[in-house]
Amino acid sequence: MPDLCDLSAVELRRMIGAREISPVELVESCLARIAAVNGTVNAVVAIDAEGALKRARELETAIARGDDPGLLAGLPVGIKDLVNTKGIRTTYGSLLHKDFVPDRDDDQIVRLKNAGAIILGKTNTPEFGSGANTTNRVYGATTNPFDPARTPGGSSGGSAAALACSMVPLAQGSDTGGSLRAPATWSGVVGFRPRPGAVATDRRTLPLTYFSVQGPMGRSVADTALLYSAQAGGAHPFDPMGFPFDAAGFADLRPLGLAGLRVAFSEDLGAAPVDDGIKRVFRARTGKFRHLFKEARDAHPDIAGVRDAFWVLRCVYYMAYHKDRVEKHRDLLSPNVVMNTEAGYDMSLADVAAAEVAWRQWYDRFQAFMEDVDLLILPGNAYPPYRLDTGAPKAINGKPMENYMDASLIRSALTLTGNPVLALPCGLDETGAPFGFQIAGRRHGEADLLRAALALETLLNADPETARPIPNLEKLQ
Amino acid sequence: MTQELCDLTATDARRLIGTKEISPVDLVDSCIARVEAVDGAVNCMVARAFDRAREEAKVAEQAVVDGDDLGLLHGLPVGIKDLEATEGLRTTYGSLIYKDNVPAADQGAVGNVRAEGAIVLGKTNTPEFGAGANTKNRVYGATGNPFNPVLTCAGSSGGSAVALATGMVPLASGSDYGGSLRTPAGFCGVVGFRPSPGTVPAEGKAPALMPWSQLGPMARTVKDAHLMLQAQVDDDRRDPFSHAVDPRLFDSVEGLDLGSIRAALTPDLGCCPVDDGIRKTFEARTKAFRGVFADAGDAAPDFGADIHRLFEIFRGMTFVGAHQERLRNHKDLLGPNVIDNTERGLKITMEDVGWGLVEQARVMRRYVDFFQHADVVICPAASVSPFPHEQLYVGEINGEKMPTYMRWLAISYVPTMALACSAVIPCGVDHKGMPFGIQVMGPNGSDALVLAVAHALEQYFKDKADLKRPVPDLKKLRA
Repeated sequence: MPDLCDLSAVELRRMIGAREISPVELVESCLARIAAVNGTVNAVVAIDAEGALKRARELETAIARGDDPGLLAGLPVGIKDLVNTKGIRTTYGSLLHKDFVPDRDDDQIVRLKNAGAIILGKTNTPEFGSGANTTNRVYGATTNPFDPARTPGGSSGGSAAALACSMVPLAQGSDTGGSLRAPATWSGVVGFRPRPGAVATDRRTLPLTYFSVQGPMGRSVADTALLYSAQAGGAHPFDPMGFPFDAAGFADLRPLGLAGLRVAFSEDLGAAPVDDGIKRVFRARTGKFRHLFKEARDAHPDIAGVRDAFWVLRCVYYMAYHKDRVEKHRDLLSPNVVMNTEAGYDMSLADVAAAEVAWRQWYDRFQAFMEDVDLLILPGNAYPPYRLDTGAPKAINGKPMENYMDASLIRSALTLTGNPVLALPCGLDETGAPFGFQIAGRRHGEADLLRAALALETLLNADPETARPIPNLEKLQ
Repeated sequence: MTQELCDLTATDARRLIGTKEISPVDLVDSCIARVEAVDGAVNCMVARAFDRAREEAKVAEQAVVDGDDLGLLHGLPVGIKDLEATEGLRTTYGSLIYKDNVPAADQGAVGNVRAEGAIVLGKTNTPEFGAGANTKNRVYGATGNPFNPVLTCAGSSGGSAVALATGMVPLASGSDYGGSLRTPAGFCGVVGFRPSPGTVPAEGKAPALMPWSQLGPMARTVKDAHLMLQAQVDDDRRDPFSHAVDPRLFDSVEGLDLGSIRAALTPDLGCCPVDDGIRKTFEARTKAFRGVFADAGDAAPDFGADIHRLFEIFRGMTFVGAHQERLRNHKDLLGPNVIDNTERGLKITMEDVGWGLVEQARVMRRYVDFFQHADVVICPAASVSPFPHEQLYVGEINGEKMPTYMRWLAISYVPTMALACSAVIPCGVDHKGMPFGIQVMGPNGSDALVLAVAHALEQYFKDKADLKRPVPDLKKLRA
């Protein structure tokens, strides 16, 4: 029998509003689940039990009084440890910040609190979010709830694993090269990368890029959209990608008819490294439902030049973010941060300019491609989750990877488009780990994408082979 | 001289077209006559679509007669800067490489303006690829300042500014990276508005996710510029910065009480070279109007000590991205500004780029924060009085040598780096009797407020001899 913490965020929010449950009970249920399984999974790394219970009691009183408690009233939320939370230890996964306790919330946290959310704790991330893993020297590794010997992916791996184990009903994440999508896929949950600026933030070091975006994660499309409705639309003048729009409608999502949609399927964008086993699962699973769309074809835009463009731009951004740190604290930093920053030293402005031009050409090609389709569906990850003791594969299908981001091309290519992308779970892969899709929508087409994903999720959940997988918690206790 | 149809404001002309008091055919004819009368002296309308304009005017007239729904710009002749592609009309980008280029399609913002009923009368001159603030190229030659044709009209939207000042068109398009629609508006006594990034979409323009270059409207009044802006705005997938149109842009610019506005006045933004004569003019002009504000202090945002280096890094990146290949293949056909900018860019290091990205964010944040205590910043439109167009750029200000050909434009490129929106309005004449303009600017997204303040100031200026918009002596240009 499920505990309170296993219910969906949408259902919990309804029950809280109807005073069927108290936010205090829900926080207690989440804390109990954390106590039971977090020892094995290590997903929630800083916990504010006292603050959460206090806030839950305040909300309980407010709701009893008849106040409008907000879209997320009483729902505990996990916050990725790259985001500043007032009074809760925030380390960015780095030894350099291991004792940092912010004295103010980031703007996006203020918005969540204003919507009635309860910040329950911080979720683990690799140092400064570098890479598709979740391990660091402050807190160690987060493990995959389906197999603790393996990674949950990253960099929002703590959020993904916490959701899969029902430690929280909702969690925040961020995504540069796939950091919302990869861990969602490997943990069997939903991660949504919205358009740049949709979730405006006041603390971007580099505001003029599509790379890093903030976004929601949940166990279902509706839950994810609920969190998104509270996160999005609050433009901040420090974020030039942001602009005000009304996102409240996402809290009450209606499915879109699949029979009206034109969908392109691609197992590897033509040239991105993707493991043959993943391709097999992708073909088999999509084969089950592709006939339901108005139009389904195997097609993708040409990704020539995209890998190099992403890598060069990533290196410039790493130099911009981390150069001083690498020079002063090389020994305290993770190899990914050091390598990614130093790779930039050998590049020139001509390389950056060429990368910008290649990016722009890809952007144009992708937007033109999406004129003729409503959705583009791809695998969520290039390979099954790897073992923590052996690390990420150095080769895919026998082909060596040059750097730690190469295997991310199936996701990072979409980063450069600025289009919204949702990671949706779909059963297990050949290794018994969660498998999932990335579904890209049209530019600024968040609403249609979320509605289509809601319809597809219902369909997938009706078939045990394609339903969202749920970890065996008994094994984790 | 009695006022001719072509001298009407766009707003008046549009209203009179709607009420059938004037015909688009007569308006187009009046504009054509003006071009033919004075363009020999100023050389701003470099490719002309007169036959097509007359045909379109007849169709526009018929639509009025038929009682059709009329667009925002129905029947209004417009000039389009020669950096924007126009279907069927020669578009050279001021470059010998494209001297015979006739686009098969309109660029998005041009299409938007036509879709609102505007009639493209011709293309306005610009320096090669818009590089530099002197409107001069090897395809069409130099555009002269209507107040003294041996002086420059500035640039790169110089052709548009001159066409407006001389009444050839009531509206024209411009674009602005480091001041390209603001400096010529200042030098020619017209209005130019640089909107916030992504407001007027431009496809295929920026080679990168960098919002420095923006399209915008130019006109003889703020209300007219606002009218044109409403036709230009769009959410166009081809521009990575475009977004849902801010509904406040459709609010009237009228009705703002300057007595509720806090203005910060600065002759030099705290960091830009500005000629002493221009400083004195700015001081005298602002003295005459600073009392209208709730508060008007002498203050400038802090753009930091390295703001010029910041500009040069991004300028280099933009030019290397856009022109590196041309430089390799067509160096003989390229002008010195494009070559210089690109070659300078190639010397910038990756480390500089990384630093620049972070510094830009800091500059923007300090600039945004400044507006907690002010609603608008007001400074001169340009650092110097118009100079001979023989001279490619300003080499020296107050005896100080300018280190780059762009430095004299700092007063306009500095706000660009902070993602400002900025309106230039005429404000009398300078110490040399040439048009003097001021910038009214705010942070990214404050377009509606900036336009409303600019309009209110323009209304305050219009009946004051030392503040009102100067008008060129067309008789001298007709010779």
